[in-house]
Amino acid sequence: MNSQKTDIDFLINEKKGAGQGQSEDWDIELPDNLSSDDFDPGEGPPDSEIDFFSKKIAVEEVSAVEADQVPSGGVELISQASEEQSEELEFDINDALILPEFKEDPPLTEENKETTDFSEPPEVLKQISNQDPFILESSSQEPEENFDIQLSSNKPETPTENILEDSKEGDSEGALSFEIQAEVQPESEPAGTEEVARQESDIQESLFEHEGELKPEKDEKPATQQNAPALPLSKPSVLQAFVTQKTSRKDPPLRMDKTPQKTPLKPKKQNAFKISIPLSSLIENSSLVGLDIGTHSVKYMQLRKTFRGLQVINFGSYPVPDCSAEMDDKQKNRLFSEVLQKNFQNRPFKNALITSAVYGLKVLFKKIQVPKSARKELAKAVPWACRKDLPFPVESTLFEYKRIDKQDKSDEKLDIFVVAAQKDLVSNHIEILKDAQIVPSKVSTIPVALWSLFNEILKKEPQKCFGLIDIGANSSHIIFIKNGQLEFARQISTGAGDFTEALTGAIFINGEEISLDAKRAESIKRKYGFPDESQDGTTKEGIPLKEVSALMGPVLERLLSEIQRTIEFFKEKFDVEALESIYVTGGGALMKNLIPRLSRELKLEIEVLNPFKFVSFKKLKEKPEWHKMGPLFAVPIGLALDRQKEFNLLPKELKGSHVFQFLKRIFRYALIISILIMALLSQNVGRQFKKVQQEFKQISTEYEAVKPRRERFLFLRRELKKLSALRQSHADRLDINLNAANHLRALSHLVPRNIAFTSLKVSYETRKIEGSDNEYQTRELLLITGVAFENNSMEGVNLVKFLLDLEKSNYFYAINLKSQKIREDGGLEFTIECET
Amino acid sequence: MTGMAETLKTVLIASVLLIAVCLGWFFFFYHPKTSRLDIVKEETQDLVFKLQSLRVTEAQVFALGKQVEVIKNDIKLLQDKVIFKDDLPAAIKEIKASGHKFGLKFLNIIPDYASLINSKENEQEPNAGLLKLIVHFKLQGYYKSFGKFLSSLDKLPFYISLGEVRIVYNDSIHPQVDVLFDGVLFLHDRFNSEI
Repeated sequence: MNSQKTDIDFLINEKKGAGQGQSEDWDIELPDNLSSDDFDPGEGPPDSEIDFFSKKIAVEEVSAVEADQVPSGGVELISQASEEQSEELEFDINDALILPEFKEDPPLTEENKETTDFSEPPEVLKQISNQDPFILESSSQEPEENFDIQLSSNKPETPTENILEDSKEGDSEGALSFEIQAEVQPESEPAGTEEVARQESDIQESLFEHEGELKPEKDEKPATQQNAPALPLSKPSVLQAFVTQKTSRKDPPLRMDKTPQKTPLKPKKQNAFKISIPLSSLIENSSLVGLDIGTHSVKYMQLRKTFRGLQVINFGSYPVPDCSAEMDDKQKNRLFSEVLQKNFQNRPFKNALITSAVYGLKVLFKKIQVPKSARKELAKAVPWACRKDLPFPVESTLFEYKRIDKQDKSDEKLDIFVVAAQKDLVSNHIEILKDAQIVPSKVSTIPVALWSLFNEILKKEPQKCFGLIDIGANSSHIIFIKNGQLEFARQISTGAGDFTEALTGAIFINGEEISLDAKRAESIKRKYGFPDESQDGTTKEGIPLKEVSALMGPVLERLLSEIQRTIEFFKEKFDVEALESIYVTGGGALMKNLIPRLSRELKLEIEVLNPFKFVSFKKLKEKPEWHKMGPLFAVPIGLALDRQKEFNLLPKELKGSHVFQFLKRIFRYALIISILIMALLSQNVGRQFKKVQQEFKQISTEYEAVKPRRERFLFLRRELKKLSALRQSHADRLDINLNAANHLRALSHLVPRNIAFTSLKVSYETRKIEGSDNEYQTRELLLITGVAFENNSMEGVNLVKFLLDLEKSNYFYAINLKSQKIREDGGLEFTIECET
Repeated sequence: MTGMAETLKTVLIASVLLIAVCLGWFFFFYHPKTSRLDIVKEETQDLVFKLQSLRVTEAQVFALGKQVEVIKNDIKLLQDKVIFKDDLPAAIKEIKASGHKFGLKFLNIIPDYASLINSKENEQEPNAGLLKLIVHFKLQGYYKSFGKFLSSLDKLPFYISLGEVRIVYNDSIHPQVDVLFDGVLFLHDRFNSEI
């Protein structure tokens, strides 16, 4: 792999006339251990891609030769097409960027095509002309390296030791990221670079300080320009720009279901579950994680959208150990998985929506036009429309597309932006994540991520046209956004790592050979960037800056040429008069003098896009120098912000897996909460039972205490009632009546001398009271019988007088003279009845 | 990842099971227990109210005891002036002696035993234990002496009530009269010897 890669660059450089006299050396003398920094065999294309590389060599070789004759890269490439592909050359110029070598791939031969489902166009496309508007992808797949965030140690297993060794030797060129400070040697600094070096050292220092916070057991003082490399750091990852909120560290990592399925891309049964959007919306408030798995490093950004804007939770970068050439795909995957697993084991990705990205030549971006049709028809039409541009069989391709809204509604054609990726690539990517127990909610692409980043944080005037270039380590991506839509995307095979590569090897200065390994070359690049041709001074190795500039010149020319061609192609094809501005991200954006040089050469306003200006993070406020690292995290941030449903390359059966995880988590919480509620309620009921029982016992005890008194009371009440009744009974029965004596006494006072009683009778009569049923009244009746005597016939008068006297007394009433009769002797016999 | 569907199935089945367990717990454990608890609470509350209603103070018991004592005393006083059956002759003698003091001559004294039987039959409250016995007296004497005699009856140590009184003129003994009266004596329905 290394030799292949080296051959590529050698040949390109040779043909383009750059690096003359050095190419052979590079090819021959490139040390094995050096390749790990710049040409990571583990990150190169798999064996199946070796052919591609060799083919690419040929293509670029020829294209370099014919560059003067062909105005655009696309035409160049077409000119390289073989005779068998001649019919392909009849395509529109928009097809031009297709790499002919892909068209030569066996799966796409005519024979093979006949076996595919796409041999016949869908109905909806039969009316389409042979026009394929735009081909967007044409770059080779090369390992990515973000130069300033990490330079992994040569020995993956002992990266820290390397640093320590380097530092002991006084070599300031550390092997890890942000080792800019290690290069600082004030005594030999050329004028004008001291300030830059100092700033970079400050960044390094601040990072080390931060690490010191994370590892309090290490009591080493914070790194300085002189001693930073000597810090006894325990983990290489710790040296990365890794920032974590300590509060969230306890959370376990999100784990993927450990079901032993190893073939995730196999077709699923029809009953595969479809995740509804409302469920997803339940976790919209989750944190968003962008995971950029590069060839040399893994960067991630965890953030959350709040009403105050984007809030960073975590971000960081971890180096990926170099892969040896002997490693097969599985071993490389395992290596990536181990890095991910090791470093993300304790990341607080709970409830996070993780988006990662695939990239490379197995990913295609294309804007097509199809007639308006139903969704099902569209699903057939898109692969058919893209089939000619695919460097791999349609059957083994995942398609994701999005309809682009048009202002002109009457247009009967739909503009559709398609992202296609080879299933193997995505499958491989998912395997890595799966092995690392990371469940992605989306697998996106770098252009889409950059587009999302642009839309989310810049929010520029939609009607204008903007360009965005992400200069990675080994490749760059350029996208154009018009009316807020991603119109065009292209991957350029030149990256910031090529500048380092240009400096690597033997350089002859005044007949003296100076050998630069990758580390030193990287160090020079970081310190001086792209020096001006007129800049005086030398590096500490004694290389004049002019020479450095001359060595880097071809790479810059290549980069400029690619960008220029892409811009011109875009302008012409999309009828764009001028670009509003171009933004640059990625590690290349941090390379000194590069952006001003690009701007000058391209005659365009180019601006470094630092996403950290648009996010809030406490640590960034505390360490303002970290803001400079923002462009490095453009892709992870863009991935985190990429929430579009359309461009999700996850296979159908995996889409929504995070929702399943969410459901499982919800169920777990529900289970725990249910058990807790049941336990609490049961306990509560038990406690209430106990309380009631205690109350009952207390009442019973009290009752026992009250009982005798109560019984005594009741007894007395019964007794009282009984005795009262008895007394009443006695009183009723003992009706003592001795009034007769009083009556007789009264009569003795009232009876006159000439009246004599013959009989006195006191009797009693009981009768019912009128108007009452049960009440009786006892009357005492007095019956008097007597005789009145008088000589002068006045007996009657005397009797009357007696009756009146009776009436006048208060003893008698109801006096009734019942009878009177004159006897023979002249006396008046009478009978009187009265009541007493 | 073929386990995705199974995962969801598992989640769904587990959710259903969880719901079933929750429902089972509710209907077979929690609800019966809370219902029982409510009943016990209600019973306890009733008991509390009952206890509060049953709760009496010593003062109440004392006051009630006093009332009982007073009534008992009253009854005793009443019963003390009621003679026992076997005390009847002595009581009549005492009446006779009282009449003699006022110069009255008792011609005959006839207890009406039938009235005693009637009194028993008409007894509304058998436990009261009081019987009435009517004794017919016939005596001779002055009208005033008879009046005084009647006035002295309430001073006798037993209860006697007057029934019908009849005074009849008799030429042969004038100015004395014949007097017929019914005296009602109250008797215990038992003998003194039974106590």
